[in-house]
Amino acid sequence: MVDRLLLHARAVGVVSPAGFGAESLIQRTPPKEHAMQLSSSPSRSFPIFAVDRSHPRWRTWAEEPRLRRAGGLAQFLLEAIQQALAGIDEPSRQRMGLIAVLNNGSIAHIARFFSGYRSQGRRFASPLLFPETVYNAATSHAAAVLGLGGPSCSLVGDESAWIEGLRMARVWLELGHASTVLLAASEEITTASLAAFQCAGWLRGSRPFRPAEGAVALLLTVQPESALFALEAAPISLPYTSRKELLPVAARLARKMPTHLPVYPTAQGSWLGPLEKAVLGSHPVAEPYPYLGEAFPVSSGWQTIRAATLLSEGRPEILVPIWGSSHQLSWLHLRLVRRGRLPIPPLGRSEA
Amino acid sequence: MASQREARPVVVVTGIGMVTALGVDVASSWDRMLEGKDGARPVDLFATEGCRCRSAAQAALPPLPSLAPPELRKLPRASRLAIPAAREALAQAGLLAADQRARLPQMPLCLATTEGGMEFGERFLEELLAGRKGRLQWVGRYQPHQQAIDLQRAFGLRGRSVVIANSCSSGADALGYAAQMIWSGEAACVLAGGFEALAETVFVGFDSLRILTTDRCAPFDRGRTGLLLGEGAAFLILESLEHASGRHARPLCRITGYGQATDLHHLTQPAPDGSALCRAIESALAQAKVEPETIGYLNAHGTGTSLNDESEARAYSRFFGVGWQIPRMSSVKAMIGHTLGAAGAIEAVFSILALQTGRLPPQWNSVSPLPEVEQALVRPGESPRPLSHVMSANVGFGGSNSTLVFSSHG
Repeated sequence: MVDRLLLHARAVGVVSPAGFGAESLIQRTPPKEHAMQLSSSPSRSFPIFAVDRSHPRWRTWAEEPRLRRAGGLAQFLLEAIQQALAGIDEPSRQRMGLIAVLNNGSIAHIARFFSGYRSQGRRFASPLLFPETVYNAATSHAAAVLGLGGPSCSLVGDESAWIEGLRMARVWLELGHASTVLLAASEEITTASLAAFQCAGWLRGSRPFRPAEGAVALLLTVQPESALFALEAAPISLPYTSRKELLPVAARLARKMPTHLPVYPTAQGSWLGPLEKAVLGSHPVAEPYPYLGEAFPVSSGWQTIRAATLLSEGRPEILVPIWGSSHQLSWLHLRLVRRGRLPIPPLGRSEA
Repeated sequence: MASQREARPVVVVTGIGMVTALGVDVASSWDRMLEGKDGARPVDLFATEGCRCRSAAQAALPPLPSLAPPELRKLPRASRLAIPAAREALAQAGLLAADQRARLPQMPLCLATTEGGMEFGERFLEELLAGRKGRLQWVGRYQPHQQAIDLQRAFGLRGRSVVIANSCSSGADALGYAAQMIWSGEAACVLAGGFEALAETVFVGFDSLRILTTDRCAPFDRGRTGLLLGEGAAFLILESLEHASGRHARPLCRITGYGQATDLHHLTQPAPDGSALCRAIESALAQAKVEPETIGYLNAHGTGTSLNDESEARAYSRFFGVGWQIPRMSSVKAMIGHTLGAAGAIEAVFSILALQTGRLPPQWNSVSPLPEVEQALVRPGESPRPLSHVMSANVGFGGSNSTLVFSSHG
């Protein structure tokens, strides 16, 4: 094995239920909850953290010709990536790689396409909707609209897929496959995904779990100059294949994490919260921001940025545990970049 | 793009396994491909009334004696295809213990698919449409990372997994990324591959685009009428030569190049000039440090659709020259159909078999080839030829273009 290359985040982009840009993640009050109805039982609704789609910015994306049939998933992704690309000229985008991480993917289009052909008959299935159902449709739109000429890849998974994306970015940069890499994630809440969360028992009244949607993007380089912070994926991710395995696997992960570094807790609202408390009980803790809901790999990206804002001369390193809600556990190691640009500049400034 | 590292590890393939509509393992799929057995048959997995096309290259599910019937019933069709293919690859590489567990449990998994356990997702949506609460067993086993869990359970794997979903180039990208993991020192040995099961939604989707053939699938033929959907899985064991030598494993070949480029032209249509595919080929050859004329065989994407084959033929013609004869070229999709996320992995296995044996899969069903590729298409009955390097190319929805170069070892 070789020495691991340290990645540097040069810019970030965020779409969250709390607004746009990194500053939306560090507000001290939680975002407003919205109610979403179950499609199978419209009399029942559940609280969610949704992106404010009445903002004029969404109209701009909706009018983008390439996105005319796409939905929130692609729009969120493009908005986050565009923020991270502010000030990056076209030639620099030519060898820029794009890694998009998704959990539910285009479930909104799959559900629409499915209900369309089931209700109207297969011969009336929509050829316009179908291409948008594939996982990499949003990634493809982002590359095309934003002129990203390097390699692109779509990864699917739970929160831990964010770590896999980071590892892929490191490999691409190490091998010269790309000159810089955009690591992004996007998630959209749909009535079908809400029904899925209900099935899983995650929406029970006693649970703090709130589905959330949005997107996140990090522009990664190997250059420390002008970096916001540095980050490194854990050398391992541990899979669990059943609920029974989860506790011992989490305990094993905790034993492998450096014990002297502060941990930014990330599972306070998910069903993994008690587990996190139990296995990381002895670790020093960096006080988390208010709960922002669960958007799977997007949440991992948000937590990365949130934890990065807590880096300081007095706290130059922070660990971010990544509790995959269905498959893998891992962590991230964040480092302060000396003479770095923290705190993360607000959106207005990076756009200028 | 060339590697920045001075000396990267040599990556070798030590095991291959596959399930296709032609057979439940490598040997039967290969033999029937060379014989020209057509995998197309009427689909009986789901209703196709209302579709223009009613056929696909549907695979017979291999038996899984190590799993109890209740466990088997829980598996999506994708896992029923993936597990036997992975087992065959592990066994050939000498990595399968007598108890059917993997000998290197920490080995990472690098997987490719476009639809995961889609039939479970369909059942879930069906329940929602009927106004019923969906069942956890359907929704929980739909997502592609569930197939990673199924593979980990089947072989006692305890390493990490990554799932790539780049539509039809996913399989090639999974192999390419697995090789990159080894080249960069991120891993020493990886179980990589792709899987895809036929599912109604995807079948209806392709039918709605009117790109499924109701005739024979005839890639690169002037009279081609569309693609044949297929299903299957293929897995490869990739490891550093040092790692393979350390455990006295016999390399089947080396993977020497992986090129990837994104076509920004359109979501579903390739740029007519095939420029992105050219970039992917160029990149793979540069990485492999081989000249185009040393590639003896090219396993083309060749779907049999009007737009894909034309763009692909132009790309190859630009790259290998007008009237090119070498590399010899064919698309196996004429017989096994387009296996989407599995295609890149399955076609890599066919390419490796060609490299090993010198026998080339003929271009079946193409009686009147496109002029750009006419001289290059492998004809039935061609004599075996010694090969040093072979290439496998894949093009996908969303503009993913990927190329792999395999080279003989020793």
